[in-house]
Amino acid sequence: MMRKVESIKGMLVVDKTKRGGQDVSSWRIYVPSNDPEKCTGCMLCAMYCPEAAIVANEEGKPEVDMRFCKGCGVCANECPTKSMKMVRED
Amino acid sequence: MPEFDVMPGNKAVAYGVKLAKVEVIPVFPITPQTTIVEYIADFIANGEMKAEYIQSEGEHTCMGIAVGASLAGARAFTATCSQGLAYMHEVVAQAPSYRTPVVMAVANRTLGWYWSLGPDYSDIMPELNLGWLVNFAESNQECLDMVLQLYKISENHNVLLPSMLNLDGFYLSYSYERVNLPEQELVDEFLPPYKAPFPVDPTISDKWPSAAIPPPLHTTYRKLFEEVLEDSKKVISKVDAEFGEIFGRKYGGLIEEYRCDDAEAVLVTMGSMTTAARRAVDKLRSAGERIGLVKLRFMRPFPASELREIASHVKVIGVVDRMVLHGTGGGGAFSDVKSALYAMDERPKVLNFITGMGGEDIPIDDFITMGKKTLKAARKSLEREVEFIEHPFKPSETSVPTEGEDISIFPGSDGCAGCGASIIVRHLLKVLGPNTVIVNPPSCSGVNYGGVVAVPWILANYAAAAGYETGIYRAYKIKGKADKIYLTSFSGDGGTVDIGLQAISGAAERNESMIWLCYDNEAYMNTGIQRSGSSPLYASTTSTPAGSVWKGKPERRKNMILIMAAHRIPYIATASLAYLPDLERKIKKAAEVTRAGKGMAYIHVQQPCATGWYFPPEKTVEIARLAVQTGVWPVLEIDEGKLKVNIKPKELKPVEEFLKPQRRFRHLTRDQIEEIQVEVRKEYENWIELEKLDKLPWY
Repeated sequence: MMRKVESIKGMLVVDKTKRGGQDVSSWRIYVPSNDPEKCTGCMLCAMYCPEAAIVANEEGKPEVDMRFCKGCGVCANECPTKSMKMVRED
Repeated sequence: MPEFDVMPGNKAVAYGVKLAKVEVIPVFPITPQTTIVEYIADFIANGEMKAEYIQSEGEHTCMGIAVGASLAGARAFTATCSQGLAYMHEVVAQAPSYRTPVVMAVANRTLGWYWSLGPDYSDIMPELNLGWLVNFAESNQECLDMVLQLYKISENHNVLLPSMLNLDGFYLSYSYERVNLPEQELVDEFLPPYKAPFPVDPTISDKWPSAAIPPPLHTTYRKLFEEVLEDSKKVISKVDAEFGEIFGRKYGGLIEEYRCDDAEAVLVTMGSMTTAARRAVDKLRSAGERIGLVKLRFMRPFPASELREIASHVKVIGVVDRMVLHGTGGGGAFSDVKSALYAMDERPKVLNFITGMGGEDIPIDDFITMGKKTLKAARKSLEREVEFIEHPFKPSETSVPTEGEDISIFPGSDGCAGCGASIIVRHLLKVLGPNTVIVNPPSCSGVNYGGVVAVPWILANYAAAAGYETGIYRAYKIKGKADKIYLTSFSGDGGTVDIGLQAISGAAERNESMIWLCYDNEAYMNTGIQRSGSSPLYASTTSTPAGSVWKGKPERRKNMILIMAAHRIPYIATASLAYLPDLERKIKKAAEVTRAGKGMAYIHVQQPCATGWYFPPEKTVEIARLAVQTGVWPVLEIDEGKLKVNIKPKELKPVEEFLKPQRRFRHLTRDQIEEIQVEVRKEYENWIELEKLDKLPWY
């Protein structure tokens, strides 16, 4: 049960229900691009993604949430089959 | 050296220190002071300056070193601000009674009161009344010149007190201006080497300073101190005049008056805001208003008689304050100005404007408004003494909603691309879940990830983080929550192996049931890559730069695992972000140990940092893996005293494979690489030897 407290003058509080990340898509130059034919769906990319911007889609293959990808390239660097590649974003 | 250069205030201070031929320089990084100590490190690393440069493990020690050096007769300098200055406070209070003429630069920044890197004078507020001379600079040129002047003033045997040079964080410390560089020969003539009257040196002196006096003499010595500070006013003016004669620049002693002749109202300002106030006074003057400006150059000793002189021919004084004395209803300068005028038979009215807190700009238009209000008060009765000049704030970023339930940390943080700490904190929260509380001493993570977590992320004071965590744990214990909430730190290496160590050691000795997780990026990354006690041998950092003289960090890193093992806590582990199942298992184990109330669990995770180790961001995990495969980062755990090396490569790869991709090791010679190789192999073999024991002997 959450306690309900009225606001207190001059006191800052964090409301976790109003939290979220920011759109960082303008940070990057390169974006990951996955070849589903070569991809085995091991999801190591998702495990190592510093931003947790990668989730598995219905086929069990990685899907990058482009709002949160900073283009660091860790996913492509760690991909064992090299199905994930960094390509220059237009 | 060139005649002039364009440089930030911090570099101007560093040039002042170099020209003053300071002998001992203890440092600890804190924004926005840090580049002062980096520029000085560069001078020394490249043979342009000779000094003992000591990166201490915290500001408290830092001032201790400065006072010690000064006691022993050396010229000493340090720099800090804000939280660092507050942490230093105890030793700051000691320096005057030992009569140690240390000069300290304070790149002003707000203190405590809602975290901010922005400047205001709340950091200097608790330090004002300790017996230091407290000076405020308006320009970068004044920063350089005042380092020289303050040594001359402080070391004068009629003064012999330490001095603070305040420069507004960012507005001066990081802003570029043209600065004339005085000739070394002229500086040497102006500022001869320091001669301590009673150096702590039994080979040359039978007398040395003392700070222990019997109670009846305390009042007397306080009185004497006030007399010395009063006398220092003459020295301040004399030194400024002498400086003017040699270098052609004068600042006007304790205060500077600007267009005060025939003024009916004056504004009172300090520091860099004065420049904008001058322009406002110019505009009001050209509109026919009789207004002037007084810059308080020194807050201590306070220019009371100078202000009384001005007050005798104006109707109203408007004091602009960047500090609030909470509970008094007004600002610090306001309070001092008012009390200085109280003894006058006829006093002008005194107004107070509080503005620019937390680094907010004070634009010229605001000074015009304040000037007009002050002028108006000359003609009307005073409605209110103190006014807060506020500005509306519009948040610029909106958070992006993320699908999925029970997310403990959201994507889309402020962290660098490829940040290893991000990988660690995500897996930490993945294992521990939503009922977790994170205590976080100042670090990159506080800035980058504290805002995107859905669990309480408590920013704790640097040296007290293990104290915060202990307090939270004990509260949970008494409230029956200790087995329902996971409690962990997320601390960098500075907060663990350096400034945080004392509190961690205390918590470990008491065996508090809490997790201490250190993500170790092997330097102070948050302030811009200064060495830490965890930086490896020969790493080039901004405070141990490789140059013509320096060859990177000369010391080996602390062995934090053995330090923790010496406390006999139930669980200790190292981990790597390249081996995530191992990391997750260890976090789970630590959670079990602490939830069962068995005591403290300590996990030390290496975190390759693309920004600070200088490698391309995609290599974060690769470098972490190489660290394990070369033996640089042994992955092990100590469970109730039984040590186990968890990852044993069949054959250790040459250490060069780990060093080569990182620019922090680019300068290494073959001999240095060989030395690192020998060290790494020896340490790895030591762990293998310890693994053979049933239990570490001191458990």
